[in-house]
Amino acid sequence: MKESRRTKRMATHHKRRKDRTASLNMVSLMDIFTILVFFLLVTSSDSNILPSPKSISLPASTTDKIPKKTLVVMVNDKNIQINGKQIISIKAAINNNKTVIPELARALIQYSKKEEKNKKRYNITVMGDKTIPYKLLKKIMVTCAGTKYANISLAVVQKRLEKS
Amino acid sequence: MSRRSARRARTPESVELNITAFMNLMVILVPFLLITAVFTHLTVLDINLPTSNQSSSSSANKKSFEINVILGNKYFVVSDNNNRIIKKIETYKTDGHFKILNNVLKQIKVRYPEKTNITILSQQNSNYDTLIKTMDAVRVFNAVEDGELIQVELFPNISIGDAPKLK
Repeated sequence: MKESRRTKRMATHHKRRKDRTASLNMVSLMDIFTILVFFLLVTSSDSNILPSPKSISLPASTTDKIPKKTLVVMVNDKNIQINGKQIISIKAAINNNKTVIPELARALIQYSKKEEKNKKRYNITVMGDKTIPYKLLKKIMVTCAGTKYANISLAVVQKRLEKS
Repeated sequence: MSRRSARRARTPESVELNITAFMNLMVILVPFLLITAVFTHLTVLDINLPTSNQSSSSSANKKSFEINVILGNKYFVVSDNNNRIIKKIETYKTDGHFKILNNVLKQIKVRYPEKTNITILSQQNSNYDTLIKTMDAVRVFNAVEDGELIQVELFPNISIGDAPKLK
């Protein structure tokens, strides 16, 4: 079968097209990724000292004080924990008829042995759920103060200043 | 080798970078950083705990002026240490009421610029969130200067105590 001029031309054109390797244009994707990586690197660079547990919703405040590395007492809506170790349930802590929580005090004394000996007051951070009553907070603070953990910081989520 | 290079030179084609390795790196790095990124910035509020001997000495010299904010079940009372009520705010349902408290304390600060300590006396059942909001209202005052928001210090040394029993 004789080929016409046109079919020959089309065949060569087709061949030429096939030679080229198909490639995605990745320039814009690279741009996005590069920007994203730098953004995330910068935002994650400020080391977070405090743990961020999901069971506690902290109250918000406009303070800009950076937390120090201290012993952390966590109070969620069910129990009190130190460094992730459960100490006592909230109900038991509220319902004892004392001004302190003896179980917490015992645990704090254990931890205070690891602190520097010559200091008069140790630092402690209390991470409390925003729903806990003042009654419980006071008991915790009194207990901390009684075991030389008298510099208490309350952990909060930073809130942006808004124009009034 | 010479044959190959000669052939390449004869057919000029668009030069492309091999970015596969770079893409692999990005694909790993982006999800990793996304997971570890913390978008809520945690900060702390310091409170001033009176040691046992301090509290006894402060009760001894009663002449000095002390400001108390009593946080009741449904109201604020700003008073001094002689139980004179400076201002009573009936409710604290909205942020506006914290704003009123803030303004009252600002006026007190104008009269006593050296004073930095204050006591918040709280009811047993008021919750932690309200306490923190009150501490915020007591601690600083937000002001606008040159179009920028700044925080002006009011009474940053906050002590916490029990509210007196109501009659």
